[in-house]
Amino acid sequence: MAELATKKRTNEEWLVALQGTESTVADALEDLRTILLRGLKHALNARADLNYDRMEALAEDAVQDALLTIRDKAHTFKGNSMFTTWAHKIAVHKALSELRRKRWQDSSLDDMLESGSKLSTFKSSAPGPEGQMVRSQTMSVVQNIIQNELTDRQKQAMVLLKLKGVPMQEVAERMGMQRNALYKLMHDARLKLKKRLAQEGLTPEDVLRQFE
Amino acid sequence: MPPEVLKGLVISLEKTKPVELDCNEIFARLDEYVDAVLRGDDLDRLMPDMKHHLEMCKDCFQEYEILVSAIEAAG
Repeated sequence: MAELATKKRTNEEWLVALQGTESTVADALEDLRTILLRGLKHALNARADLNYDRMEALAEDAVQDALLTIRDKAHTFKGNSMFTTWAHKIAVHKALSELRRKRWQDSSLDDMLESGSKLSTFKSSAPGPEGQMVRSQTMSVVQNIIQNELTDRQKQAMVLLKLKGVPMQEVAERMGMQRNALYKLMHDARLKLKKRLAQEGLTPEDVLRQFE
Repeated sequence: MPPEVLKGLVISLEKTKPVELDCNEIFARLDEYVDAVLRGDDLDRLMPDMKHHLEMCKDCFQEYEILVSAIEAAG
């Protein structure tokens, strides 16, 4: 079945339509729904890492939700991009938020932290074989810095993000913070580690050489 | 900590800057950034801080990639 053609609109035309009469708003939203759904379904289905058995329904819900936001927030659109790019951005954000939520909804913070990934994971492992003294000394400096210099919350976030691969959004929610604040927490942790390594006379490049 | 995780962390230290954009700032300008990518603009020059955050943040990078793919598929 051929898809119905959607009317091409300039940014200005989208905004006028979305802030116009009931009929122009309905027409614009219907065209936008077609455009957003076509893009979102394709983009989500193309990703092997996002396997989810009800993707079509999820995409439709995300677009529906996005259309409400777009209608309400159209007046905040700054015109720095194509209007449709801005609209796609909102739909993609809603879809991914929901996918991440569904993927992790049954996992509590305790579930995520259990099975040998507690903070002790950061302690030095057994020394390497002979001839690898430099390597293991450098590594134990790094691991001790991580263990001793970061706050418990920074370490907890690091375990979940780096070790468990939990998305930022889900870690943030379980730690009672916004994703934005979590980024800042991790940025502070990285700055601290970098500074302490420098005080030990080590650059990140020195440490990376140990992996070669 | 498994070596590959530690290595990933150290690589992120190498790229860490004193001041970085946060996820909200990225989302606010992601549409502008993606249009620039699709036009083939030089983002290292025009929006280096945005590009940097996308290299550092897995969640934002995933949104970016899917947004590009959605726009291309929608035509």
